[in-house]
This record gives sequence, C-alpha cells and structure tokens, in this order.
Amino acid sequence: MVYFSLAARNLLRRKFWTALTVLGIAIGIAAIFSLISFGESMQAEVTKQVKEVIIADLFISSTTGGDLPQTLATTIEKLPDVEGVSSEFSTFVRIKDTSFMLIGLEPKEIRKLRILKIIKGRDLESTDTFSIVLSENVASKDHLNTDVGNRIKITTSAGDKEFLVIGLCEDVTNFGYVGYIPLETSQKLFDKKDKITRVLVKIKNHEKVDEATNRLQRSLGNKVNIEASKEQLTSIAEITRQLNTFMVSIAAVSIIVGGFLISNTLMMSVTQRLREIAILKAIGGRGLTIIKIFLIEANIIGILGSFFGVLLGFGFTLAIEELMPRTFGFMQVSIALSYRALAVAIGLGLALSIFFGLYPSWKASKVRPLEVLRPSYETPHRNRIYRLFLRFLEVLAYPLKILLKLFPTAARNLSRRKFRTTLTVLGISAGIASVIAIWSLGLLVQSHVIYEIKSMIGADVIVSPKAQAGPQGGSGELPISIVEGVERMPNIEKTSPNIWQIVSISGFKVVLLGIEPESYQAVGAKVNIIKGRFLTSTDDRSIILSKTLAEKLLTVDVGDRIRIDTFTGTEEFSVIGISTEAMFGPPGGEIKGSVWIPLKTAQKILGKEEKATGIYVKVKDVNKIEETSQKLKLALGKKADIVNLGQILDQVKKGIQTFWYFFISIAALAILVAALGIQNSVSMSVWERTREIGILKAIGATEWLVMKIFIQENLLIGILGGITGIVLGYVGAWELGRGFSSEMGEIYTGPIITIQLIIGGFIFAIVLAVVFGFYPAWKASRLKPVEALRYG
Amino acid sequence: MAEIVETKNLTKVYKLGKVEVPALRGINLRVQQGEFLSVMGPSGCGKTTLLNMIGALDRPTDGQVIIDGTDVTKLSENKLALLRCEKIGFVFQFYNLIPTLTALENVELPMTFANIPKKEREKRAAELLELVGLKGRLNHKPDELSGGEQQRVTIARALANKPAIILADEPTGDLDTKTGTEIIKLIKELNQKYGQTVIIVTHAEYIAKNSDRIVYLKDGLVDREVYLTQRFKS
Repeated sequence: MVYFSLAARNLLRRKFWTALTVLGIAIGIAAIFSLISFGESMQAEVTKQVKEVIIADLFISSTTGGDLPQTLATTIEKLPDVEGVSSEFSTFVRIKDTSFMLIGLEPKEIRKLRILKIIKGRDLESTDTFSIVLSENVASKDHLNTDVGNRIKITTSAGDKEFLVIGLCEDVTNFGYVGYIPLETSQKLFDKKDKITRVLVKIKNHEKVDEATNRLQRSLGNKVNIEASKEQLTSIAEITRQLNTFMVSIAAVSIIVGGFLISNTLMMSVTQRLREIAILKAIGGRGLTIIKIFLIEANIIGILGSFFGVLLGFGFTLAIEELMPRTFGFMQVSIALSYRALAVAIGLGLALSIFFGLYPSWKASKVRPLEVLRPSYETPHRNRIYRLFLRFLEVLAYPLKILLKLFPTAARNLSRRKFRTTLTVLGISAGIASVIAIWSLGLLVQSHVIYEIKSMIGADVIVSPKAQAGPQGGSGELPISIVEGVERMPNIEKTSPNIWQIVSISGFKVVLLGIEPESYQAVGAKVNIIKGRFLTSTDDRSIILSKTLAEKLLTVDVGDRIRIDTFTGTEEFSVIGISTEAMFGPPGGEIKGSVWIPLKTAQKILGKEEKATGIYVKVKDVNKIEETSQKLKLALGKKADIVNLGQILDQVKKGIQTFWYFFISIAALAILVAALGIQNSVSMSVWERTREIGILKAIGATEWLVMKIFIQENLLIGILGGITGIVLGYVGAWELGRGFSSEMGEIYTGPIITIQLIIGGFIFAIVLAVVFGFYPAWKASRLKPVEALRYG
Repeated sequence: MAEIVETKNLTKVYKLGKVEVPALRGINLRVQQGEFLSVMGPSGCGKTTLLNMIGALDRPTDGQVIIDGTDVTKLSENKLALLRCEKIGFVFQFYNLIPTLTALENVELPMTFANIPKKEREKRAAELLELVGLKGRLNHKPDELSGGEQQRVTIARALANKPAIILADEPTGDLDTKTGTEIIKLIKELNQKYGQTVIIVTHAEYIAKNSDRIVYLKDGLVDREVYLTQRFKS
C-alpha cells in the first residue's frame, strides 16, 4: 500500500485544501442525501397510511359516476383473479357547516378490504343500524364537536335521521373528512336498495395487478372503471415526488460544482508535486501508476466527503423533519435512514471523485521527467486534438476578447490556466444559474396563481358563510336575500351570488360553480373560454368545463352531453364551452377540474333554492375597500366572513414565497460550494506564482499592487461567471417554466426574468468572486520577496 | 566484453523560442558492461543532455541510443518507463527523494513499480540501506536526514531493481568534499563488487579520477578520452 500511504500523506500535507474540498463534496452529498431520504419517507408514510386502511388492490366504480347493482360484487368475487371483494355505498352529506363523505361499509365481520383504525369506541358490527364511526377530524371541535356516545342528525331527502356515534377513527391524510355507517343503512337512507358506488377488490397474484386489471376490464365491459389502489395515493405523494425530483436536480448542480472542486484541488496537487511525479517517472514509474496514485487521492476525498455528507445530510433531514409540518402544513413524517439514499450518496461521492479526478491524474501521468528535474528550453509538447480544442475555444471566446482587453494583465494570467479558470467560472455560473432559474420559476408560479385567482374571483370582496369545511366538502350557505341588503350599502357597485360544491362527473371529483352570468362578469370575475361560449341568462342545462377535464379525462367537446352526480340523482347537461385550467388545489391532486353552470340550475340540482355559498362584491372606490369590508362585517358579522381580494393574494403570495425560499436555500448550497472553488483556485494561482510575486516585490511592487493584480483576476472571473450564469439560468428558467406551463395546459410565452434578477445575479457573482478571492490575494500581497524568490 | 550502452551520431537540438540551440552534435560512444565512466566538460557542453538521453529521460533529435541491445529511441513512453525501472538507476544532484515517504519506502518504490511482493521488497530495501550505511535510519523521512544520508538513500534506491547501469548527475555537487568522497567511494565499491556500469557526470577531478575512463565533451561533441585503467581499453 505504498501508493495509498503516498496519497494519504499528500492529502495530510495539505490539510486545509483537503478539508475545504471534503467540505465542498460533503455539502453537495448532504443535500442529495437529505432530499432523497426525505422524499422517500414522505412517500412511504403516505403509502403506509393508505395501505393500512385499504387492503384492496383495485377500485371498481361506474364509468358514468352513477350507481352499480350490488349483484356486481358477487359477479366479481367469482372471477378467477379475485381473492376477495367489499362493497361500499358513499355519498357526500352535510351536517351544519361540515360536509363529509359518508361511506356505507359492510360491517366488521364481513368487510375484508378496509380497516378502520379505531382510536376511541368501537368499529361497526353486523348488529349496528343507525350507528356511525367518524374520522377524528370530522368529530373535532372545529367541525361537529361531538364524541363517542353522542347523537348526530343527518339530513336526507327522505327526512332527518339520528345516528349514534359509536367510534372515532384515525384521519388518513389522503381521504379528508369521512364518516362510516353500515352499508344497508346507507342504501336505505338514500333510497338506493341493492345499489353500491364502489367495489373494492383484492386480487390473488399481487405482482400481476396490471394483467389482472386488463382481464377484469374485459370480462366486466366498459361500464365500469377500474382504478389501481396505488393510483389513489396520488395527491401528496405525487406532488412530493415531483418536488423532490426537482430539488434533487438542483442539488446535483452543487454536486457537480463539488466535483470541479476535486478537480481543482487535484490539479493543484499535481502542480505542487511536479517534481515528485518527475522523480517517480525517472525511477521507472509508468503513466498508469501515477494515475493510480492520484485517483487514490481523489477517492479518499470522495469517501471522506460522502461520509461527512451523509452525517450532515442526516442532521439536515432531522431539521427538515422539525420544520416541515409547521412550515408547509404537511403531515408529520418520521424520517428513517434510507438505505437507498445512503447508497446513492456514497456511490455518488466515489463516482464523482473518480470522474473529476481523471483529468488531473491523466495530466500528472503526462508529466515529462526532464522538464521538471532540469529546466529545459523545449516548448511543451501538445497533441493535435488539444490544439484544435484550444482553437475552437478561441473562436468561441472571440466576443470575450473585447472584455478581456479591459483587464489585459488579468486576462493573460487567467488564460495561462485555461482549465482551472474554466472550472472556477463554471462553478460560479452553476450556482448563479440555479438561483436565477428557481427564482424565475417562483415568479412564474406566483404570477400564474395570482392571475388565476384574480380572473376566477375578480371581485374586490367576497362574502362567504362562516366556518367553511374546506375544499374536501362543500361549505355552509347564505340566504340569497342577503344580496339585496349588501347591494344597498354605500360604496358597493355590484354583487354576484354564487354556489360552489364538489361533485362527481364520471367518477372525477370536480368543483361545480353556479353563477349568474351577467353579474359574475360585472363584478370582475372571469371564465377564460378557449372554445365555445360563455353562459347567458337564458341557459339552463348548459355547462362549461375546464380544459384537462374536458379533453383528457372525459374526452368530450362542445355540443356533447355529460352527466353530473349529486345527492339526489343524476343530471344531464350539454357542454357549451371549454375554459383554461383553473387552479383549485394542486395539479395531480384529487380535484380534477372545474365546471360552471347557471346559478338557478345549480340551486335546483343541489337542493339549495334561494341559497348561495358566496357573494362576490365589486366596490365603487377601491381605496375605501377596508372601510367597506368593516361595514359589511358589522352588518353580516354573525352569519358571514368578509374577505377582500388583497388579503387572499397576500396569503397566497406568502405561501408561495415560503416554498421558494426553501428551494433557493438549496441552490445557495451550490453557491457555497462555488465560493470554496474560487478560494481554492485563487490560492492555487498565488502558490504557482510565488516566484513571480517575489520578483515583482523585489523590483519595488507595493503590497497593494500585488493585491490589485489578484483582485482584478477575481473580478474578471466574477464577470465571466456572472454572464455565463445568467445565460445558463435563462435556459434553465425557460425549461422549468415550460414544464410548469404544460402541466397547467397553457401556452408558454417564456420565463419571467426581471431586470433586477439579472443585475442581482451579475453583481452577486462578482461580489462572490471578489470576497472569496480576497484572502488568497491578501496572502499573496504579504509574501516576503526573499522567501518568494527562493521558491521553486 | 559486451557493450551495455552505445550511442550512434547522437544529436539533440533545443528550440529556444525560434532559435535552435544544439546541445549534442553527433556523439558516438560505447560503454562496456562494468565500466566506470566519467563525463566532464565546461558548463553547457551537453553532459547532462547526454546522460538524460542514455537514461531514456528524453528523446534525441537524431541518432540512436542502444541500451543492452535495444534501440530506446523507438520505444513508447510506457516501455521507456519499464526500461528505466529495470535497467537504469538514477542518482541526482539534489537527491530527489519523495518527501512524504520514509527512507525505506523511497527505496521500495522502484520495486513496487516492478511488482515485487511486499515482503521481498521490504527485505531488499532494508538490505540496500544497510549496504549504503544507513542501518537504523530506515524510518526517517528525507527532511530528517543529512545531505550525505539522503544521497545514500538515492543510491540505495538506484540499486533497488539491480539495474545494469547507474547514472549519476553531479552526485556530490551539493555535498562537502568529505561527504562527497565517501559517496564516490560507495559508488566505486558497488561498481567493483557488483559489476554495475556507472556513468557519472561531474565537474570535480577528485571524483573523475576514480573512474576507468574520462570522456571530455566540448560544444556537444566528444573532445577527447582518457583511460585511467586498462580494464576496458579496446
């Protein structure tokens, strides 16, 4: 192991550099490690939660979103692939202000595929009739405020029924608000004898879910829709996954910068040890041997970097675990050490060190013994490809030459070390580019969401019923008579009552909005029609669908007819228009789109005659909006919440910003690594030019002059890094923006890059280069001429 | 007697910017196996260049260098490294030891290149260091050794792979006369005891007088030769 000890001792000889490089790698590895393990834990948690309560592999429901005959369950159970089935009848109900999904389940003894995690009381049994198990969130203070032993009243078209709360079960993040009652009771309650809405299926061979699904679909025909249970895990898990992929790619940038750092440090090591390498070669060391020695060195750095990176990453992960639930309202995730993350981190560290160590090692192996052992006057030999490459660079860099002319000395010194200069510049630009790209995406998302909200709501003030149950269910309601009262108040120009409710179209959950076409537009709310037309006051069974819902999910077009399922039955509508995507909840989430119908029709089919769930208000003088809000609050205080648009936008902006700051802090890690790279690179050039500095000082250069030389070089590196960073950042922003827009189904017009962002990025690059290059420059200026001259 | 080194019309021209500077202008030299040869001459006469050519550290502009029957001017870089490893041992003026390795490890290094097993390597390195009088200083690093001691390590290293030729470039140039004499004695002893061919480049007469033959170079050509012994006079 002479080679190993040679490598190790050399690293120890330059403790400072080794430490710096290891730190750089460690930061990158830490970022990757923590992101992967965080993402995995998050996904595992969601999957676990759902798996614990649903054992089924598949869900079978009606293609049209209506009911299925109960006999279907028996038919399915007899199919060869099927191991077991469970039937459910579910519908939305509302008690006071709380809407929740009421699921009719087979009692505990028969039910095979769904487990209720009871935390108080007991599960449903076959002797139960008007008994209910509520998820904890429904029973909580903010909603029904009830407990085991209490009775709750459920209103149906057939009248009110009282249920005894026999148990509370754990919430499952993905499911929202739920209550469970016996299947038979729910069928009777809604007058749907022998009808079910969903069959849960467990298949025999777990590995072959897809094949089994195909066979089931063939034998059941296309009246039913078969969905794999894992597809139901979408929303949070899917978003987390997307988020993570993105963040990992940012972390990868910092890893690459870290790789440059390895390259730089090794190059420095090669330069410092030219003489040693020459000796090794003179006494018979072959090129491969030299490569081996340097690669071992790179590997030691890689291993140490991975090790500390994993430690650091673990700490970082724990920190995320601490912060996440509070910051983002995600569920509590307990983060376990992910072996995959561990393997990726360590593998990456090694691969990186080998990859980035190759060039310096190769350079070392090409050192010619004589050039070093004895000064020679021979011009260095360079092969043709290298010369061509240089020529190519020269052509490419022609515009730069003008810039370089501004700093002639600095430019000459930097171009003496093209490779290292390139690495350093790339390091800075990678950092700057990722910040610019992410920042720009943030702006795009923000403007998109704000535009979306503005055009959807438009109104200055929104009057809504108190205590909403949230997007999972509907909400409370207001008597429509309020509208007149509101309209008579001072500073009110126009009002528009509306209703919104979650409904199901062919099994897809959508937001249904009932609106008054004229007043809706008059208050400033908008529906962006891309095909067909908007509603008019004479429309009745007409509907507008959002783009993805219409084109991708339902595959209907203007002129087609669709059916909507409500509590009381199924209603048919004709599609008159298609609109742009409207953001109600995250992409990939549970809500698949929005539909608009006339208010009167909505009131009728939802059983909310003379009711509204919200009133949009336009004021005459926007400057007095606060005052008007206050007056509305006084007048309607007990019944309604008053929110003005500014408040909503502020909240949304805040939410988005929290998110983007987190992303940017990851990108900042890349910048940190780049900073280490600058420090490294400048120090190396000081070292190389010790003799030169000595000569300068010997012939009378002041400390300031020496420092100025190096500061000019740093300045130039900063300018180059800034420019390339901005260009790369623009490309990155373009790509990220395009991805986001296609996700939203919109025409992409390019990234939002403000002039501030460009100038900021540029200045930041320069400051970075100058600040981190300052110490080595100062060191250079303090060199004593006699000592410096003795050098080399 | 077998010829171990032969140069034929050996020419080397350095380019100094656009000016061509001839260092060797056609040297014809034959060295017998076991011969102790000194190369002398004024500064810039091409002594070191000649030594570097023979040591396969550099390629000639024209002519041939034949070592043990092989024309080294035609070998690849890798083959040259192998040749240096097996046939040639270098002793430099400034010792050129690897600073991070101990004396023992420095001597082991050429044997590592030759893939000699570790145990054997260590044993031989220890023996060699004992031979050059450094018993008990095996685990010292170069900066813990005096100049003379470092040069002894270099000699031990040069002997590691039992090379046919030892090339020494001003081996005593950085040492005081007393130490220098000791070193040259050691080299001569090795030459006589083990029959290794030695070629020394030197300025010092007291070194050169130990050899079998002195070759004087002048302006890149052999000026004259003087035989001090009759052993290899053909």
